[in-house]
Amino acid sequence: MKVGIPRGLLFYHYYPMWKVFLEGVGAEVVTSPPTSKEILDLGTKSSHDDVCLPVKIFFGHTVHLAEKNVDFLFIPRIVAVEREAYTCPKFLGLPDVVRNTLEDLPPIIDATVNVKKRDKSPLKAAIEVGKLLGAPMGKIKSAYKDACETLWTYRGLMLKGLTPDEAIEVIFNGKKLEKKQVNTDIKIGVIGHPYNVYDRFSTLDMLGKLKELGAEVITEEMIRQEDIEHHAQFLPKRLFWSYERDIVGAAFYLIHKKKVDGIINVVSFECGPDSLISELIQSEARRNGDFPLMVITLDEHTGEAGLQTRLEAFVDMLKRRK
Amino acid sequence: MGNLWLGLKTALQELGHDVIVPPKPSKRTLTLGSQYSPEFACLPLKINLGCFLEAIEQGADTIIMAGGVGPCRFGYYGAVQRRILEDLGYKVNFIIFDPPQGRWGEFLNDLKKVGNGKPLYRIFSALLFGIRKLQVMDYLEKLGHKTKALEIKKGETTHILEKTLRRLDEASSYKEVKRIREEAIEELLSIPKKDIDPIKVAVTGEIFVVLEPFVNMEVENELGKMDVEVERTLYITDWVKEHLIPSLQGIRKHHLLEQMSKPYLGHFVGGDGQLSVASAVIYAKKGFHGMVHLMPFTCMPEIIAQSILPRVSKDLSFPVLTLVFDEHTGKAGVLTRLEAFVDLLRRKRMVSVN
Repeated sequence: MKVGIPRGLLFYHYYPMWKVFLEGVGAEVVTSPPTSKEILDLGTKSSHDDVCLPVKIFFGHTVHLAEKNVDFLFIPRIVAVEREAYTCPKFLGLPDVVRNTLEDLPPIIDATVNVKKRDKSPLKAAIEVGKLLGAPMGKIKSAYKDACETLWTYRGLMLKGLTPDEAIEVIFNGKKLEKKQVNTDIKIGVIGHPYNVYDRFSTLDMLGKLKELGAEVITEEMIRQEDIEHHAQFLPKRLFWSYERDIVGAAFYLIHKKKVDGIINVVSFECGPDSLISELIQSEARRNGDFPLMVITLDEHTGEAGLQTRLEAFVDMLKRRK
Repeated sequence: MGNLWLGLKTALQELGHDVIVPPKPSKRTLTLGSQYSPEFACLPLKINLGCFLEAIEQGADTIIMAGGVGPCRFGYYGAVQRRILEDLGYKVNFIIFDPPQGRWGEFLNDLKKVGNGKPLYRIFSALLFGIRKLQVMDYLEKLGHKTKALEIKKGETTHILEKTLRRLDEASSYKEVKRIREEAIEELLSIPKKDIDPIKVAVTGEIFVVLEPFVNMEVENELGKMDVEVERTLYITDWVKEHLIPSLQGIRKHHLLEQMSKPYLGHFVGGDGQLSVASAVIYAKKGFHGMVHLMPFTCMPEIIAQSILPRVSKDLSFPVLTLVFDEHTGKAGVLTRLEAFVDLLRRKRMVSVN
């Protein structure tokens, strides 16, 4: 049984967990290759004009997988991952949007995870998926346990400064964890949705470019959850999107504690939550002695030269301030 | 938002407040609002902020705003707008009403804040009077949608409705409201009408855009001018009822929406997204000829609906026109599309009759 996981959106949050679980219940996991021009084109062609860039990319990956003859597509409906918050509305409707927009798809596994409801807990969702794939209960439970452990390992690795891709390499291909040599004097926080920040194609390899310019990069995943939670409380009102709350918390932490010299806020064009949280982050930066902040908006037309110039200018500016 | 001001103004005046109603949203409101709003925020936020700024200009010192708990962005508007106003240097009182969701204590506290020292029952009776006026206005608008399509001299209905709105605003007792209602009904019914069987179109979408004629380029009036009968899927009193007063009716309606949209959208997505999908199914079954779906640019729940509607439309052979509004939308473009859509519906009906 081949199950395809599109390399987009929540892939960066949960892939190792999903893979371990699905393999544990006897499925073979296939992923799409990293985003490329071809995948983006597939996505823009098949999705609606008004959806945001990450969703378009997700569509591209989905179409790519569908052409690969997988038996199932794995697109869970992640409604809420904590009691007092939802995820982005687009995740709430994602399986439906995919199903009703694309033609000739393999069946979609769209188990709902909603921790606000007792019958939609992650375990219940896992059991639903496991049964669908024909695994016995004992196997499902042990696979679920392994999967949860993998998720913690994955998060632990990212906390140490690995990107999701590197962490996945370490977990599944046994690559050695390399201690990174950092000898730079500039630290930059790159804050945004993981599916924007870590997608090397859509960001035109922003993280790599920053490294070349001699800057050390800190992302949200490298900040401890306690710090994020603590600083998210400075918001005037509790934010009701989990992932976005983490982003704001991370940005506030970096600003308040002056952990970095400057922050780059990566947002995607037409992203609903980004439009508001970016405003909050900008306002917070202004209130903290004009903390250096650059907002980069991604869309399918982002040009390489423009981005390069802006990054160089930003890094130069930070160096001069020192 | 639409006529909501009427109800709130009435309620607050009853409580002895000095109420400033910002001028109707205009080009200036929009310009002011978009100047200070986040670029990709949706249109309602921008207009809303513009209205606040205009109200502050006129001397308002307290702003009352509805809140929410997601997942639609609207729930966080208040917090962001307060920050924007603070950053601009305005010192205003900001009261945000979050839906009670079981925490009635907090909600009542907030209510007392606007109560001007009046006891709770006075607050409720003031609110009820406000809601009554809104109910009357909603009823008249529903009736107006029918007469707009049939009236011989276009614009008569609108004229009557505007006049009634002004009179309702001044009314100070239930008795007066009742009289105004009866007179308005009388007037609407006595408008000279054509003898035709109008095309029927449902208008649905994001509530703010649907209810605010300035934003939606008066879609309903324009359709009326083309002899089209409109049925709106959303009214302000429905919204108030569903969000403030828990009732069996509300639960039933919610259940119906869920069932109708289930084959296409299996989960609520915040805002009015599910309603839009369900409306297509419901109105196709009711024998309507088409549906106009209105949404602000970048609206998340409606984008989901918009992506799904083509499939619904195809399955039920029910034409749906989606119109997206932002600060650059021009009236001529909207009109052309509406005309083309109505032509299409007429032709479709002609073919099916023959």
